[in-house]
Amino acid sequence: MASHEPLAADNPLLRFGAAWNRFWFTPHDAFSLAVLRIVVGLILLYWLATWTPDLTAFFGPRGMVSTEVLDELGFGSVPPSRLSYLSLANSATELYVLHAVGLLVAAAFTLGVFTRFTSIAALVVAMAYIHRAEFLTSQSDAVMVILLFYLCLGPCGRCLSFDRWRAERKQAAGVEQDVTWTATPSLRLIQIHLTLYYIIMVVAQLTATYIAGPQTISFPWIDGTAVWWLAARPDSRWIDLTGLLGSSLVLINALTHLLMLFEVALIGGLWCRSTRRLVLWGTIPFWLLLAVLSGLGMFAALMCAAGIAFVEPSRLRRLFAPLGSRSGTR
Amino acid sequence: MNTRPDEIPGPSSATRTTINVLLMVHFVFIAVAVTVNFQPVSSFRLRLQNIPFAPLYAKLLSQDILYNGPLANFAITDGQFDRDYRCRVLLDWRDGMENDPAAVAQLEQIDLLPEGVWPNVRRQRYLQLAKYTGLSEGDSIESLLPQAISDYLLMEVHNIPPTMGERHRFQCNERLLQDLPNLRSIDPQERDPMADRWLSTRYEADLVGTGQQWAPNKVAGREEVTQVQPIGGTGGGESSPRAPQGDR
Repeated sequence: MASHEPLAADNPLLRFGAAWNRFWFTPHDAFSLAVLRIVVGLILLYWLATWTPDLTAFFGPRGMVSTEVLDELGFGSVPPSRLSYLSLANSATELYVLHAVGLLVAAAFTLGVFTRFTSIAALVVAMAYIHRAEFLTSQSDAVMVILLFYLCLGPCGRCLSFDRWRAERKQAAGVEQDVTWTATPSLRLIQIHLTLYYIIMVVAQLTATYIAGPQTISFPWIDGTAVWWLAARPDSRWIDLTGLLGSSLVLINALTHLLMLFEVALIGGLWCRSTRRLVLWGTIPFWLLLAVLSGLGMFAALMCAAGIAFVEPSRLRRLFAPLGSRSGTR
Repeated sequence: MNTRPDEIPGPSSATRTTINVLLMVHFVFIAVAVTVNFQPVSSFRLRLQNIPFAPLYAKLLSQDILYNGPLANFAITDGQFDRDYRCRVLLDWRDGMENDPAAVAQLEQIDLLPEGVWPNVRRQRYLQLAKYTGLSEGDSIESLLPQAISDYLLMEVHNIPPTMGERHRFQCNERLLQDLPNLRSIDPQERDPMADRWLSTRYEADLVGTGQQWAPNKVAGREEVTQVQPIGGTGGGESSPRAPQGDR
C-alpha cells in the first residue's frame, strides 16, 4: 500500500482507493471480535434455550407450525421448511436431539472451541430456527443472524477462547498474531451494518404514520406520542409504565423526542473518535428504556452488543485483563 | 504477542481485489433488501428483486424484514400491525351465545398464550403466532392456523378428541390500544387494558369435530362460511397473508 502513496496524492481515484484499502485492510486487534463472539454467543445460547419448552408445541409433527402447515401457508417459491434442518425431524425425540446439538454448537462457539467451524455452524443453527417459522421471529433475529454472519468472516476465536488456550499449550506451533488485517473486514461490516440500522430507524420514524382512528393519522415520532404507543401494549411490555407516563403528556413527548435525537446522535457520534465513547455509553440507557417499554429485550441486547465493534480494543483488553494472558488478553 | 499495525503485512493484491468484489456484492444485496422492504415500494424498487440471488441472500441472512416496521419503529407502524393479538378456544359453544356475554364468560377457555409464560422472548413467539393468525383473516389460507392451533390446544394439550357433532368456538381478537386522551375520560375501573372491552374480534370460527380433526367454519356475521381446509391438502399455497411483511 505504501508504494501507492505518492501517486495517490495526485489522483483522487487512487486516493479514494488507498483510503478504501486503509479502511478495510489496516490490521486490527481481533480481541474486539472475540468479545463480540462471547456476547453474541451467550445471547444465542439464551435464545436457543428459550425454544426448549415450546419446541414440540411449535415445530413438533403435531405442533401448531408443523412442516405441513408451513408449506401450506406458502412463502414464495422456496418452501421455508427446506431452509431449516429442523424440518428433517419426524418425531419429538428427533427434534430434541437436533435442538441439543444446536445448543452444543452455540456453547462451543461461545467458548471458542474450533471456532472456524463452530462460528459457521452457529450461524446455520440460528438460521434453522428462524427459517423454520419466520412469522414467529422478531426483529432481534435479523440482528443476531447478521452479527453471526460477520463473526464467521473474521478470526473471532483468536482470543478469549479454547482455541487460544490450545494454541498456547502447543507453543512449538506458534500463536497467531492478535492484530491482523483479517479482523478488519468483519469489524467494519458490523460497524457499517449497525450504522445502517440506525439510519433506517431515523428515516422510518420520521416518516412513520399511525392510524389512530377512522380519519386520524398521527406521526407518533414527530408528535411525540410514540413512547405511549410502545407502553400501551399490555401483552408485549415488560412492565406497565402507563400509570407513570399517563400522568404527563410532556414526559411522553420528551422521552419520544429524546429517543429520536439520540438515534440521530448515534449515527454520526459512533464514527467520530471524540464522541464515540459518550454515545456508546448512551446506548445502554437508550436500549434499556426501549426494552422496558416495548418488551424487546433481546433486540436491545443485540444492538448494544453490536456497539462493541466500535470500542477501542485496548479498553476491552483492560476490562478482560483479570483473565490473564492464557486467554489472549495481553 | 502484539505488533504495531504498520508492521503487520496486509493482504496480497489478489486477496484484496477478491474481498473488495465480495464486499460490493454484499452491499448491493443488502441495499436491495433494504430498498425493497422499505414501504411503500415503487415498481422500480420492486424490480430490484429480480437481481439474481439478491432475494435469496437477503432471506438466508434474515434481512428481508420490513425496515420501516418493527425493526425501526419498534412496531409503531400501522394500527393493525401494532396491536397484540390473542387466540383462544371457548369450549362447548352453543347457538345464540354471541348475544349473551354472561353465558360466554361462564365457558371454559383455552388460551394460546400459556399462563405465566416466561421469559418475554417466549411470550413474543405466541403473540406473533396469534398476530399472524389474525392478520391472515380474509386470505385464502385464513383457516389454516386456526385449525392447527385448535388441533394442538384441544387434542394435544387438553386431550379433547374431535368427536363428531361436538362444537367449540375459536376466536382471534386484537387488543385495542388505549389512546391517552380518551383514556383519561374513561372510568378508572374500566381502564384495565386486559378487559374484554378492549378486544376486537378479528377472526371467529366454529370448531366442528370431524372425527379426525377440529375443522373451523368461519363465522361471518350471522352466516357461517364453511372453510374446512385439511392440513396437507392442496390449495392455498400460492397466496401469502399480509402478516409476514408486517412483522418481518
